[in-house]
Amino acid sequence: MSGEQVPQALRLRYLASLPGKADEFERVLADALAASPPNWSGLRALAHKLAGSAGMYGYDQLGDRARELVHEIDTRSGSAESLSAQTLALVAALRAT
Amino acid sequence: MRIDLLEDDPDQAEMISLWLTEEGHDVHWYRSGGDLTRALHRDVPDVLLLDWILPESSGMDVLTWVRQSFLGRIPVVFITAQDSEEHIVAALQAGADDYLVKPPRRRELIARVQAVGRRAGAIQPSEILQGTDPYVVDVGRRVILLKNQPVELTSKEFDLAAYMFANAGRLVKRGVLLERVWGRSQTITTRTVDAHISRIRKKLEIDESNGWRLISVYQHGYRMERSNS
Repeated sequence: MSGEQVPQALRLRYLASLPGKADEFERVLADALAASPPNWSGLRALAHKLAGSAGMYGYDQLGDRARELVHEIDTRSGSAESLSAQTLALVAALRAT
Repeated sequence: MRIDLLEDDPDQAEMISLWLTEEGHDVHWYRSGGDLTRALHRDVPDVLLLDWILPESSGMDVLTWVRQSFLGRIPVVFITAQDSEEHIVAALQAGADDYLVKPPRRRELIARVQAVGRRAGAIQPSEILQGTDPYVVDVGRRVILLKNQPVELTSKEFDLAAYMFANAGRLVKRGVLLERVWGRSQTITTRTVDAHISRIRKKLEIDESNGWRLISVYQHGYRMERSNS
């Protein structure tokens, strides 16, 4: 999905929502790390949602990053540090888009 | 077709609704399984489009409920970011008719939704039904011609006649007609179906002279068929 079918107004509105999504990722990451052991369910839900929507609006790379984060959480393949780093990289990408 | 969409994310719901609406479909969006199942008691869609992961009940919960409810074989398509083989197999084994991984591609989504609707006998928008001569059943313009002359029908009479022509040769239960044409309203009974069947028989002159018959199958429903079949 390249986003070529997305009306300009919808795409701009989605683009304008990305900084808010970045803020939400930061908040949810902080909540996840505050729990002992860390609770990743909120972060997973948020990443899952972004994985679904970003590609539809033409932001394939954001969608891929979000999907990788979901995968890491599901497979427990990353440490808390690596999941945090991955989330913060996604936050940076959301802000830079 | 009427399509009910279960999706908790407004960004995704808006885009999916737009794509399907542009193709002439009537899309109703629900954010939770509870909202959707309440709506299904009032109106029955031609196709259900379900997300899997939702804040309350999941898309799988809804699918299970649908398959055990009065809705029976209503077509269900999953559209979800759950892309593992296990998830896809589980959904299909639970009774889903098709499965799309997010993000969906526009044309593929439309084609798959229309395909499951077609297989289930739903009427597509902007369609003239085939093999109904001497009638022309123009679903796009919502008109039925008999020997090239338009027949005056009410909206419900048209819906009922078009559904019977679309399902020619099949026994259609009264309850199914109630759901598909009236949306299973609490105030409408199967007597209303009988009365409308009688009226469309008369108005459309469905008889031997036009090569069709609309027969009542005692205690079951109705079947539209060629009179020489």
